[in-house]
Amino acid sequence: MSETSAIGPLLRAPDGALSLDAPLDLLVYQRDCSALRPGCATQAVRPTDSAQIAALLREASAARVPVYVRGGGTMYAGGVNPQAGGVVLDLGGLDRILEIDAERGVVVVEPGVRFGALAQVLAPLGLTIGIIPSTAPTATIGGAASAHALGTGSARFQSFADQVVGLEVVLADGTVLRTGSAAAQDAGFFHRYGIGPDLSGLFLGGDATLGVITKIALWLHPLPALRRTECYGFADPRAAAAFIGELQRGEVLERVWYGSGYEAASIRARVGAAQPEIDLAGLPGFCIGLDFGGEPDEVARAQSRALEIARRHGGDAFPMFNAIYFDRLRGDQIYWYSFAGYFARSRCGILMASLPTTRMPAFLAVLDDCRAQRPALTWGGAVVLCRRGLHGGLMAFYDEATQWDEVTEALQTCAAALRAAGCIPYKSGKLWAAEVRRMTPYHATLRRLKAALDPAGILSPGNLGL
Amino acid sequence: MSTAAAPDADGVPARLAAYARDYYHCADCSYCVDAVWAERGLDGVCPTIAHHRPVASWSGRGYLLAARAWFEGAAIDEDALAERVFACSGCGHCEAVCPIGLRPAQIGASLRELLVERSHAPAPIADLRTAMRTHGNPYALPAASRGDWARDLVFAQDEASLLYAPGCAAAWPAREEARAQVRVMQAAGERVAWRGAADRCCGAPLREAGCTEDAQQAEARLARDLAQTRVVTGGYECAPGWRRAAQGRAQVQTFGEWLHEALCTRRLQVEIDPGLRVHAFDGCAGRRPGEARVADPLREILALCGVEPVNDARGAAHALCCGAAGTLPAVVPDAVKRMAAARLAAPSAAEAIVVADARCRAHLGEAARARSSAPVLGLAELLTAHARFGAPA
Repeated sequence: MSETSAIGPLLRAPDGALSLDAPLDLLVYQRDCSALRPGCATQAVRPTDSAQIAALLREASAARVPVYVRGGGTMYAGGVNPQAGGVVLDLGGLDRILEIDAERGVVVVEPGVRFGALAQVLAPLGLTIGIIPSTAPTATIGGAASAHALGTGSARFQSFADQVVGLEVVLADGTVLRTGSAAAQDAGFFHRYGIGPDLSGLFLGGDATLGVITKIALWLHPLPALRRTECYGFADPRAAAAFIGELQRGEVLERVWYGSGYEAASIRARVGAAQPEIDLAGLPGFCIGLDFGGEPDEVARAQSRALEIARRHGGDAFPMFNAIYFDRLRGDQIYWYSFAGYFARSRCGILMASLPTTRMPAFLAVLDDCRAQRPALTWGGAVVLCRRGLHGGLMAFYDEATQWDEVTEALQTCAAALRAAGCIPYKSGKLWAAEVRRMTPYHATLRRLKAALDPAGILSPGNLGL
Repeated sequence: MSTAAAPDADGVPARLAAYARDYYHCADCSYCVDAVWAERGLDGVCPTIAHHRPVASWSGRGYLLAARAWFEGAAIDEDALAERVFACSGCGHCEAVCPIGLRPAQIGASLRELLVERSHAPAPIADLRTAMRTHGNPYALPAASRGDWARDLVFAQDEASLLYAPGCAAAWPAREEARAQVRVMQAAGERVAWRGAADRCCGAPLREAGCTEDAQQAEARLARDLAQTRVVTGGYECAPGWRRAAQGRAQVQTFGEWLHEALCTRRLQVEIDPGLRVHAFDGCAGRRPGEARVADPLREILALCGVEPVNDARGAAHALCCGAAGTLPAVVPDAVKRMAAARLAAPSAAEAIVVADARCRAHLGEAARARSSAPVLGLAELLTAHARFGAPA
């Protein structure tokens, strides 16, 4: 990672924006948390408002200078890595919470607002945006919106993008676009759908290839009166998948804010660390943690019903794992699957995938294959419950001094295996670009949209294979 | 794109090799830059990022990445690197929050040391060295005035039970605290000695500035005629240097540590008006990296005195540095004023803001006067102003 000098034209930074071109400053803009190779920008610009971004994009379009948009940089798909050089647009300076409208149930924020900072303000008001990831202390709302980030699917709230009411987006030509109800002048953000097609969806998960998100309106929800976690153990993933499927078809999920599942190796590792005297051979082969929220009587009913369903599928309560893991997450207001070591060990390469619930055993079989084929890497994996289907993550922890090439190869092999197992990319960046290109009509349409909205091709080249 | 250490032509890669594990395991999570996590009392991490330059190259993450690039053989603009690593308070918060125990603050300290050796320290650091050599203190104040704080105090130069080393901050800008510390120790029955004209800086400012050789010389001077078996330092930053100098021949405590022990053992008995509204100023000495870490029992001391601070302890472990520490005041003087103002913005309901470390006391006292906020008092000042002392047990 020794490229500390870059060449290329410098853009004139708009008035009020901080412009950086010292190699030492550019070092911190080379990459995100992914195992992908760093890029090398010529310049970083840190604006403080939409007008500055519009001015910069106009100039970048005219000069055909690539622009990579960066939030907290906590993604693991390489979307912010400036592989084509050019400018990194650091949105950290747009970090204001613009409006909390409890009556409409909407909060409007700038993209650089960190999840942790927003939660800190909303919690005393008894409010939440629902999905809060484990990367909340440093991850930004804008990054999550732009990159389908933080895979923290939620049984209750589905994906993060489903919580978006509308956006303000600056296009490559400097046009400032508002989506949803806010498209109508002075209407503000209160409805996402209704005015023709949902343009918000073009930019959610767009990895900043079609525009730069400069405002995000999100639904507000009351914090539940009671939250309680429970864990259920199963003999194997097949039984667990059947349990999840029945949950997803029924009413119980209305009270489940978050849910995640862990395979045998993760269970043994955590229990072994917390309670060394335990016989690990007697532990379940798979476990699912559910985070219930609601009025106390609603939570009690949902818990009772979930246990009944678990038992019907051969499972049972697994209070030990709940105590050593899920309850801790709840206390820290963290709802992310695994955390099996993301940040807790070292760098890790992560592949996140969406999958039908019935494919969970096949997804975990890919993890087993990875372990067998690449024993030098430390592998982990888990799934998150969505309203329907699952998000899954496979992680390979590695030492960048000695294992960078190996983890890169392993992720490529693993991506192909996941595709063969019926899983598809969730959040793409550059990591899954080749897979996105395989989806021919979809990708061709993306390219046509790209050509129309960003004719000079300046916005995040390489992301989504564009 | 190599991760191997560069050929060791100038010795730099070898010096930086000690942190190789840190370079290659850092997950770029940015916790060391600007994390916010209310459940853990975390609201920002790096004071330099918050109040001087909002770019990660000025934080622990930036130090780690710069050291890695240098280690791998990249050409480094050493003056630019110096500008960044000397704008660090050394508070260690970046290390305290790192989820995997990496050492960005120690990397920053090593970079400072390396840059000093290679003559790339910023001009204020050169001024600091000159001030230390010429006047024996970092403020470039006349050495002859070092003892002014002690005027009218009576010391037990013979058969003393401990040696009091006020440190530069307590000897000059926080001199009222130094005087109060001596009075409190005497109230506990201590026979306090002071070196008088021979008292001098322990070298802590030099060590913080990466001038390690100069600091070692200063520490060696401390040990030369150390007769006592107990030393109490007024400044928290002084204790590590004194400990190195004493090499186990004397017990070295900060005044805070001494006071805590005196209250616990009831050698000192105090009563403070329970109605007094005090804001406990949580410092960063307790989380400083490596040997610079010093216990900070401020809240325990207040509890032993029967005082319940108006501010609870939530977030105490993650309080941002007030700007007094490290090379910050010399290098970014405007930013340290903002840091102090930010820390003083909260305690509006208090009659007094109580600070354990003399250096913070000096820095915040000045800021408080500028803001007309509640007065800032050192621990000893609080006791001498508001406490009744019982007889030593």
